[in-house]
Amino acid sequence: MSRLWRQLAIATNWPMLVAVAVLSSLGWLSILARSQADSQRQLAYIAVGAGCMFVMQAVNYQHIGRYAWGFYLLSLLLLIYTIAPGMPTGRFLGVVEVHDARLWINFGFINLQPAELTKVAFCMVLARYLRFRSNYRTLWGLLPPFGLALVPLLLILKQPDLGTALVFVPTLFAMLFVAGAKIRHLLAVVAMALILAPIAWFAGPEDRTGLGFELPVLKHLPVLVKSYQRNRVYALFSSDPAVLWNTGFQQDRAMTAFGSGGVSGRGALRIPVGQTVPEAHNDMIFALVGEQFGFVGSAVLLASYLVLFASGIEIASGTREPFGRLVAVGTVSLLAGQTFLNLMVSLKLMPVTGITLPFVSYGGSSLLASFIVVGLLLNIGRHRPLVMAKDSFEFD
Amino acid sequence: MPRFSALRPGIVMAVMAATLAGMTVRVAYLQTYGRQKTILRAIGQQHRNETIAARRGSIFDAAGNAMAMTVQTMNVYIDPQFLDQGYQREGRNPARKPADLRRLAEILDQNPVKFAQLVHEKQDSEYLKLAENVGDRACQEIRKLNIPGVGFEPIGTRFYPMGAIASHVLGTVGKDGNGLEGLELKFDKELMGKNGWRRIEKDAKRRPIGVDAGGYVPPAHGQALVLTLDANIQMIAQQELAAACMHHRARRGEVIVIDPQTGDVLAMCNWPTFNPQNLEDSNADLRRNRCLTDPYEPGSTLKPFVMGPALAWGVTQANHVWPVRNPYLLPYGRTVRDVHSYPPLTSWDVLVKSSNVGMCMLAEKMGQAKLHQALTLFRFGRTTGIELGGEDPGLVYPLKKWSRASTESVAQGYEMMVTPLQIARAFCVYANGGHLVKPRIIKGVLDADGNVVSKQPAPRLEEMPVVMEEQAAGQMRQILSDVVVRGTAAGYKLGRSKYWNIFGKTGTAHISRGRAGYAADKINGSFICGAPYENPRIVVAFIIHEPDRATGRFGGGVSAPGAKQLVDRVLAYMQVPESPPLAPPAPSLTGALVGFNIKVYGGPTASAQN
Repeated sequence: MSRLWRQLAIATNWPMLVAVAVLSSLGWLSILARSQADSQRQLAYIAVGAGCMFVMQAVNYQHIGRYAWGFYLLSLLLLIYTIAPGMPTGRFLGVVEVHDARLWINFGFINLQPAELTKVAFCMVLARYLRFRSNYRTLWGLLPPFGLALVPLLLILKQPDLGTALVFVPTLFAMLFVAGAKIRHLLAVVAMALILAPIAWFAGPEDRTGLGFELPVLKHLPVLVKSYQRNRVYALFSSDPAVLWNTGFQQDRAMTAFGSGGVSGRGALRIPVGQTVPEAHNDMIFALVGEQFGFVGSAVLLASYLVLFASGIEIASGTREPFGRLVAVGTVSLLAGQTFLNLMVSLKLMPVTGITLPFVSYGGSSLLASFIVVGLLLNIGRHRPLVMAKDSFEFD
Repeated sequence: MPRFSALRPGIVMAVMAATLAGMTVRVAYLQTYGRQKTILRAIGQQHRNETIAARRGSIFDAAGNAMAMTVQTMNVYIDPQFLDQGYQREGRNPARKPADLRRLAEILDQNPVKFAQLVHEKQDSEYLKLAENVGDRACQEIRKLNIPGVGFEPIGTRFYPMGAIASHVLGTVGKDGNGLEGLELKFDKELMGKNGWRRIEKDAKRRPIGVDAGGYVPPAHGQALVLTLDANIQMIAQQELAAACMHHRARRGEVIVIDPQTGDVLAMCNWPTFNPQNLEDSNADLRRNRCLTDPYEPGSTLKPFVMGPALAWGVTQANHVWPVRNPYLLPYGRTVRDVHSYPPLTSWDVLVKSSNVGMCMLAEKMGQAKLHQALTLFRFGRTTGIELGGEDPGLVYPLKKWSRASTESVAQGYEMMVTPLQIARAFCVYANGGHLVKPRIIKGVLDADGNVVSKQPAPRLEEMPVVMEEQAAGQMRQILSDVVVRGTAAGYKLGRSKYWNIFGKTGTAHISRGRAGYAADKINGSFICGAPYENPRIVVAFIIHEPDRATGRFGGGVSAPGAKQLVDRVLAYMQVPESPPLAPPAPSLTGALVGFNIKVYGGPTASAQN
């Protein structure tokens, strides 16, 4: 028994675990500051999540990898379940609908968000697909990986959950990049997206887009950017009090909360401004950390993420086995993408879109998925060869 | 996977590290340098200036009776979310909540079961109005309960305790508390006062957290108006007007009672009336104060204002005899008719019998210039300058626009327009011995505590412009007093009072249909009078528009009885001593008067004998 512990102690990535612990506690304190009931539930989720993380160590990640396609298809089915018309709502195994978004399935003790599982499944499937191939080094070969990402992405957009859907993009790119896809191909895809972006923005007839003008061909296209999304973009650049009190309210209050915290913060559990930030316990939780612990606390949070991501990338680069390496890169970029999207919204660097901050935000599914991801990373890290010497056949 | 690249994960890591560094810079900015900006704006948001509404000033009549007043009441609301949190936060016993709510419902006089249900249903809302117009007492009791989430919103409710009395003068206020019409509009600024404010720290849901001690400016409550109106006289006038209008099924009517010695308007009413409390029941058309906004062609009631100057200027004498013919054919092809055919009439009888032919002959002798001068003498065609909005100047064409026919038209009171207020004011000249009063309706202004802000002493006759000599005015008054004895309003059933000598003039004006000429069956029946003859205390203009032909075809029949009734009641209210019997005209005249009978003079007992 003590041997196992010793092995664990050597092979386990302690910096990563510390980062996770720091992030979870910052999040838990912030939730406690808002609501005691929520904080108790969060504590339970953390416990369950940590449990899952350890359970993930039971088998070699490669065994798990064999079921990747199964996981992927199952999660897609769950996604379809949430958006298919005529599904039950409200009761056990029913779809939970909040603010017109059908993101959750009621499993009694937890409202499960299938999209969170889909993200992990997608990483594994893509890693599985890419590990022994090289066709993605051609432009056409990029199609299947993009297809793998697009199917869940579109389903999630349909729910709708723009934030989670967006996370698929950096993950896909990071995995293709690390797998060795040609940089110019990836840049071509990015260029294409940049060209399509204005089309999406200006598409639609004048009375629907609210732009005040319409362009010759585009006016016949359907409206792709909804009016509330446009308003959020406008609100990002507006300093009009009426807008700040309305569409820009959430971000504006978050800015105020950061300001309120200052350098040293107001102290744990003290969030006079944070009380007033809508959705502060999930999307805007960074603002609560900022107000309670000031810039010091914000810096600790950002540093924890740096440690977390760096540990993950270290595992990836240390793993010779391609599936594990790709899964590691994929899951780290998954966490990173989600983190960055959330932080940018919190810091008013991009328009508001709802997405949780891994380990910090309130929410069972998100926490569970994050812990599973870290469990997977730890698993990969534990099974890499402990090489003390430089590889002799390294090229590139 | 063709090859391992150690570099590419490194690049991914570098991108992530750079992004995190960028975030760090941003958050550092927000929490250090940028802090000042966000905090300042946050203060602006959290400290909201809350206005403390100034109470609108009251309007009193001359005796100090409140005609319009504002009562400050509260709307009571509850924030059901805050209610639950409040019990948690303040560590109260949540079991007491139902009892507290039940007590609250009792104070607000509502069904406790339904009340609790409602609060429960709206659990997730943040604003639930519980009751409107809650009085001071109930508010205090509610405050004592100290239920979290229960709040008060002050509202000023305008009350018109006298209902429709003087509603056209007072006007109304809108839902937002701004004056819409009448004095409420004209003196809106004075009545409204100035709102105060206090700075209140509020949270994002606009719930007050605390009051900033420094930021408090008390409200300046509105000033109160004291009117010259007497609510009792106003009520009498309205009753008589309504009775006359309803009896004659008229379209509308106006009455003005004015003090001829000062120009104080004692009553000013329109029929139909409206209730200023219920704006929904009336439209803007109904709320017009037509006493001064709607000029009309006065018809025969204008004749005194032609005859008076003619006598004063020596154009004619009271005993001058006019060879009246009926019909009277004019050289340019127009025919003037009298209702009855008369033998030759003296100037006295031309007015008393209201002979159109006689007036035309007089006007021809005067000439257009003097005729026009007579009208301007009484300031027809100009506003009176009363402190009410929307006054119409009436209409007097400039002399150069007059045609040949204007002489006869004006002499009979057509081709020019007056407002009821103008003609009442003009009549005061005969009542007070030749002075032109300036009608006024505001006597003074009080501040919110009842201190006098400004006070206009009653204007004195000596300071008023003199229109004609006292003797000429007195002679006119004497002629006019004969109208109710021998003239168009003769008899106790028409314009003659049993107690006071009335002097007046009837008018029956056909209503113009524009180019289509004058309507034969639509008239304005009016009676302008003053009383008592010896020492006039009131002048009354009693005008009824479009009475039913079945009940009345002449001003003497339509308006004079109502006006007489009004005079009787008002003078009784004013405790004016009874008049001595009216003296008959001088013997030098009586011989020339048509059908003169001395017995009709001398009061009701004397005439009852004959």
